Amino acid sequence: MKRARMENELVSKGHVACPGCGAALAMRYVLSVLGPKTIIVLPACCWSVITNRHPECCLEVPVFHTAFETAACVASGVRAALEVKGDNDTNVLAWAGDGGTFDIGLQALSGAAERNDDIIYVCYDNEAYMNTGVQRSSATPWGAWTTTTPATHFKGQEKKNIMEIMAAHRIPYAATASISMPEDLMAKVERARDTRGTRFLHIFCPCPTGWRSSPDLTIELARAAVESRAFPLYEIFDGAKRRLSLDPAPPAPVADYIRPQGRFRHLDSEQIEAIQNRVDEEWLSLLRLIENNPA
Amino acid sequence: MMEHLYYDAAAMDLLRTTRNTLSNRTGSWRHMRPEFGLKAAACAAACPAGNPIARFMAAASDGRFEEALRELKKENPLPGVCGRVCPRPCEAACNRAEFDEAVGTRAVERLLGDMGAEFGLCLPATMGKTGKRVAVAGSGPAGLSCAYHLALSGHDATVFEAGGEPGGLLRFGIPAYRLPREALDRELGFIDALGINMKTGCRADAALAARLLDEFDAVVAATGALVSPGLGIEGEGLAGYFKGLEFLAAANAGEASGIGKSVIVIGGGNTAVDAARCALRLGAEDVTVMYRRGREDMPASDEEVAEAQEEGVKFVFHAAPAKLVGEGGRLRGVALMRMKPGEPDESGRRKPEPVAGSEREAHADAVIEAAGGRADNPFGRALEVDEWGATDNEKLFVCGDAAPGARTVASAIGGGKRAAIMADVFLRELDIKEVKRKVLVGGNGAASAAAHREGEAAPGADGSVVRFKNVNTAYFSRAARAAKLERLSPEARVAGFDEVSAVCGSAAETARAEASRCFRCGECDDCGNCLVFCPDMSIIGKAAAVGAAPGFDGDYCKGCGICARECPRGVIRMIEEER
Repeated sequence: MKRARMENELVSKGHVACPGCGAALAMRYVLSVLGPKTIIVLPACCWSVITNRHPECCLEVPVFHTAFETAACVASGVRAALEVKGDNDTNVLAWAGDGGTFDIGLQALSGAAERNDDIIYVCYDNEAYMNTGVQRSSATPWGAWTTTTPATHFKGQEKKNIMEIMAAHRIPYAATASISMPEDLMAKVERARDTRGTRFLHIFCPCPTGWRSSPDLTIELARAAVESRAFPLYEIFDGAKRRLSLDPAPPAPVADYIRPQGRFRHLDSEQIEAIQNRVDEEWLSLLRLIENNPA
Repeated sequence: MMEHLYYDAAAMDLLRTTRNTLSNRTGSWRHMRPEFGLKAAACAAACPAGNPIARFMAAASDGRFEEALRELKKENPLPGVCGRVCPRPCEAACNRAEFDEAVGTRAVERLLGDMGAEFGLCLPATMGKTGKRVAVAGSGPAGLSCAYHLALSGHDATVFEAGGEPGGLLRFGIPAYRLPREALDRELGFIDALGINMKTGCRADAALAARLLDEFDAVVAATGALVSPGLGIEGEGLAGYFKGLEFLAAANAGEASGIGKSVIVIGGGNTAVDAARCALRLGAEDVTVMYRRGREDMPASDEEVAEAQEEGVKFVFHAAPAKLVGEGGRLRGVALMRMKPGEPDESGRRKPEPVAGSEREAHADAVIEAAGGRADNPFGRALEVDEWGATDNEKLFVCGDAAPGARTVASAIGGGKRAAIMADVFLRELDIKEVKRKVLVGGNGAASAAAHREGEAAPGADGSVVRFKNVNTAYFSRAARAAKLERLSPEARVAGFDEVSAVCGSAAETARAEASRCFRCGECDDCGNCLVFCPDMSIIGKAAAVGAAPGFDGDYCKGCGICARECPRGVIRMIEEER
């Protein structure tokens, strides 16, 4: 395997992410491509804690901490201010978790996307409100334990399909990515950087703390999600044309991905079978969308 | 004009951070730490000769064959020999076997050895001369390996060989159809190249042994185990009765005669199979190997047995000779007993016991006894030899078949190397405990002479061996074995002593393709996974040294263990933090 090239290292040591944090890796990869000429807009999320207490910040680029629901609109404002100053080449990066994207920030995101404001919006998805103590979000998958969906009443709803929501806004570029495949992830950040308008990246980031998984398994789980097709890697151009980034054929059983995680420990084999069937269906419908309008 | 649109940031009273997080030493969170360091691959730990398999595979997979051969020669002077006759314990231990199919390591070794025809001997650098003189009695694989490593360590080695040419068992015991003489002779070029003094026609008897101990600074006995115990039954004086090693020596020298048409070989090891196949090549038509135990207990290699069967050799199990039957001093046949497995003996195999009343006579023009030979060490029959080849006499070392242990060419090469290291320790007055602690590959395998010469630890000397569970197979894709052997037709084989097998395809392409299949367990190849997947930027890039593993930044590493999990080849492991 060839080593993934890291152009820039803009996250400094001493940040306070939990051991084995997937979100910390996602930031490393994205900033490595975007470089120092980047302004980050950071709503409430794990990363607003990871940067460490005032007056320290582990990010070597300007960061604007803002309210939970405002990542996209503040990013739109930063872009507008830069335009007034005549600066068109600084990247404006809204960096929000799944709670700040799928739930609380969805309205602001929808507004920015509808205006096609010139921002890169990254949702690093760890599938629950992790830094506040693992509460369920609309990105939490069916069957998962969280502190608000205890094992006896595990989450009974499916994960929201945020990619299709973004596609419906007809933004120029949207893509899913996994921290287990940094080359693919960084290639997508590059594509996003070189596109204008609203760009959306959905990055899958295992969370050892909230998933009740061993910290050394972070990459392995991210990879298992892709290899089992539970988290497909693909791109959507102009809300219409789609392209699969990787076809894991034959796919690994979804149980390989589910079993090592404590948040699914209560599930019996029938319930895991149900997840498998759901993954298979979703995969087929994604393939159909891609066939209908390939990029 | 536009000024009124700007806000004064200071007036807005925004909180601003003033520094990065480097003062925050998150290393204090850690209770496990990554330990970096080259580990022994399972194959290397299993190789009795201590071949640096992962290392030479890395070079060969890149097409750097001369470098690959040079790596191999650091540990083993005879890759072209081992690459032909070794029973492949490396392939049996290969981690890749659990993934798709074991790497064809022996075939790669053979191809690299034969590339010596193109690249020359590819010998490692020798250390400065010590002026110490070491005598080595015997020039079989153990004696040769010992003299080679002594010479590389800067000592003056003198080898005493009873026969007319160096090689010992390799020359008189292994038939040319398994080991062509040009392959052997090419690698023996190191004798002259390293200035080893080779005295042929010098049998190490008790008198010479005493003289050597007197005249040399150290002495190594590598005199083999050549004394045939005989069958111990009636009729051993009949014409037509042969001792296995003597028969093989005559056959290999082209001097065997009087074998007749029907031959019975008694024994179950490689010597028995070699004798049977030689008998076929010398004109015998009906050759049977007779073994007193079952097929599963046979020490001969499966490959040799299969090839012999293809050539028409028959195998009879659970049978032993009771006496040899003759007429007028000439052998006529064997009186056989059927045997049945009894209680397990000290080797764990069931001891064969004769079945009463099962005696019958089988016709044979010749009987070849090929039960294992016994050592008759001229330096002392009852010599106590430890696993390092050391004896009570601090200047006397023993290796090869003359010492206890497995009797393969690879074991002999490994034993010769150990004896050379021990002799070097004695001559240089090194710290023997320190050396023993550092030189064993995987902590328990063969010694690494290169590690000893360079004063470094052998891969996995602390006992860390990379097993399949330590390999991250996500970084490898399945690939069928590239190196396959093709063999002459059985008819063509028995017509002479031409080499039976050849590696299919072009040497360069096959070696490269097969070497590319190797996981290179325990060897850092700078893939960068640990660097790229560390959430705490705590991997410190590796040093410039080839194969050196990186290190970690203890001030910030939180001990998550991702680096160890994502290392494709098991170079990193997590250990308890000392606090």
